[in-house]
Amino acid sequence: MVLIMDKMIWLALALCAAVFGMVWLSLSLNNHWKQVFAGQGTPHQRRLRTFGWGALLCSALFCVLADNLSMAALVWIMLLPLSAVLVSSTLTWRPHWLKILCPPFMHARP
Amino acid sequence: MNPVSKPIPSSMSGKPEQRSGRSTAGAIAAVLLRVVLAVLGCYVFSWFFAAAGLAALCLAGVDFHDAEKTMMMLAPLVYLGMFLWAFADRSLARVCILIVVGSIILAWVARALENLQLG
Amino acid sequence: MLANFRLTMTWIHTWFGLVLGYVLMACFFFGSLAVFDREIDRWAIPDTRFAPQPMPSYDNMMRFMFEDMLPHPSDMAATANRVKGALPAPEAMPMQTLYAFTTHRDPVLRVGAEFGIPNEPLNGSDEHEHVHGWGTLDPRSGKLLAEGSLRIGSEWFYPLHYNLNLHWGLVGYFLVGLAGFIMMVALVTGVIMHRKIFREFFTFRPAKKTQRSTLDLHNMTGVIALPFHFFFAFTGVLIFAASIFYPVSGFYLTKLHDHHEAIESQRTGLPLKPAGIAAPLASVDAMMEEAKRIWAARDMAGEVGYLRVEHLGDRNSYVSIYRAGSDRVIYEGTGIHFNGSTGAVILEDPPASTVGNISSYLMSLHLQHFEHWPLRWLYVLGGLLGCVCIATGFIFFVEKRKRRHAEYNNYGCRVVDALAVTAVTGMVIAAVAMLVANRLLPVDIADKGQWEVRVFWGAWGLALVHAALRSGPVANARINPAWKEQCLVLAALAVAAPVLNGWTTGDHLIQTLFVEPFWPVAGLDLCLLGCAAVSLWAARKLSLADQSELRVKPTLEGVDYGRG
Repeated sequence: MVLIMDKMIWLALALCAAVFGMVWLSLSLNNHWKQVFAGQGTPHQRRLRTFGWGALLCSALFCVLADNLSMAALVWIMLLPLSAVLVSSTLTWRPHWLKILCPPFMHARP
Repeated sequence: MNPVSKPIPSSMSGKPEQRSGRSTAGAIAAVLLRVVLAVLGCYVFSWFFAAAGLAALCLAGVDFHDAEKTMMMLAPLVYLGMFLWAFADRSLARVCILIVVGSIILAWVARALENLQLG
Repeated sequence: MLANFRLTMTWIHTWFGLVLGYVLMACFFFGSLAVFDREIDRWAIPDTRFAPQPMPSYDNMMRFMFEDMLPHPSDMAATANRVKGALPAPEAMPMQTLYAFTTHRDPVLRVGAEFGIPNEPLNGSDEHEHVHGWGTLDPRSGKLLAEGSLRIGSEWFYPLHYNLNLHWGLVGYFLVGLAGFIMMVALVTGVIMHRKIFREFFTFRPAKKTQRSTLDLHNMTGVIALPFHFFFAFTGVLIFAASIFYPVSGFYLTKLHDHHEAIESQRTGLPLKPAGIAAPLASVDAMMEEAKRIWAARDMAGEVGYLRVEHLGDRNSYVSIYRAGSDRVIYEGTGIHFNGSTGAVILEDPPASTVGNISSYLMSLHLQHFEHWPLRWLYVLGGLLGCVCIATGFIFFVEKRKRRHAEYNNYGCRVVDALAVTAVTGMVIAAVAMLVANRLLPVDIADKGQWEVRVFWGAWGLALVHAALRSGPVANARINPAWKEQCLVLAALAVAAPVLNGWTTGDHLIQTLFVEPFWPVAGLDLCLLGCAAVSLWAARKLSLADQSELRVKPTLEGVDYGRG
């Protein structure tokens, strides 16, 4: 039971990390940045991309902690569409929600 | 819409109509032949590609089942590549000849390599 | 073929996607249902609503059941047509082979046997010299379940997604195989056509024109689940490659195959033929224990998933015991083979080679014998994204052309749209109607399963007729009202199914969620209610869209071809 709880916690973390990764990657695209923050585009495109890919990598790591490697690869690949669907539906219907998930150093003007 | 692609939408809607210098029936026949070549011809080609590959791998000393599994994974991908090429190539004659001759050669190679191993 | 490479790829994507999309739709939707096929079985056969069981004792339970098992009348009839002379009485046929199969999700086991016959086959090349018997064992009582009920999940939805339940030779398999291949083609050509894969990765703009927002959704669902779509199409083809699509060793290089098979049977030492000397079977339970011990020693402890006895009652009998692959992706079985009369280990399957592992990883990720509930749900999500992708493909096709077709009196759009209604809402209606029929038909009706199948096809056929009859407005560049009407019918059916389930079995949601949690039934009930909610929402959106279309004057405008 403890083991299963452990696994679920790691999987939940993996999903969170994947969602964060997708949020930051989507904000690195000017059209989505405009949806969330208005203005012309992001001043921190490179930083957002780095953090986005970093979060996706963390998500893969959490998957490996939850399952053995061969299973983790599948779970991670399948978490990406889920998180992408969550992020793109938020962008469609509630774009301002994403403000909360974007820390100030990624959106404050330099 | 760029000017090059102007004649396309009419053929897209399923009626490859009056194109200057080429009869409608001829155009339809060419498309049909290409579809048949891509769907059936490329399938046959990938089938004999799998056979030739299996025989060649066995000859090279690979375990029979490993050889078979390798070719089963490659055959659909070869089919995929050939299928796209059969449409992309401008010359229908070249597509036709390569698929037919290629399949025959592969079938012959597979049989020859089999006989070589069974002595 | 056309003016340039990209246009050629667009042509392939459009026309092959359109023609085989209808088949693909069924593969993706019923494939998604097949992820939970065993759970759907529990819903459909209330007698089997209990927890999954490990492989029961052979010596104390299965042995007696197998002693009573007889050849199945349907296979007796089929075999009688294939052999010379009359078959002996079923009681007189000796049982030669038996098997039992279970997974970590099965409360009941599949069991079966092969019975020997003295008759010569009519066709000399037919190697099928036995009659089969089979059944479903309830491990609580040791008895076989009554026949006649259909396991809707694993015997109807699951095979539907790989052979459409067509039994005309291999037509169903080849249709699905071609559709799976075309899925791969459509993905490659789609990526080539789509110029803004990354820039529009997250983009869905429902406020734009229907044509543009449909394309958004088509691109988004296609791209974000691209690895899933490609690998499921590819591995689906791969699963049947060696046996059906590329049977090279069975049909062309037969001599090479037989040569290697002979070498192999020498190496394994498993007897191919009976010795002709009677000998009793040693304790199979002890063999199962020993197999589990060997697996644990090889660091792959597990339960028994599949048990098979060959040459039963003969001195050459052997017992093969395979693992249930619930703890890892690869379902390899790692069989341990025992001498049937002495109980000694003859052979342990060696670890698979690298190529073998790659190939079985690819197939096993599709077959899903593993135990991982979150991943199962992610697969359902992937499958449904595939359905959305294909359905929006149809709608985009229609939206793009319906004004022009209306202008030229072309019926193409009407037909495509009616078929799309049938393939989307009609298909779901058929599946849910089957579940409703399962709860409404009397339990003791002789061929209940057959009636459920008739309801399934009947409902789907009616959906097609309805969609065709109501397709008139498409000819005037408007929305087919069948979309909305079928959404409403679906919503009604999807509410009726859980209500009927609660009423006829007492397993309503309060019972299965709180009083005595039973997730297979509760999960399906909740999904049905979710389906009802989505259909109602869709019906409302459709009537809003139709009203707004009435207000907008139809215009003929340049079409943004190939831009994705």
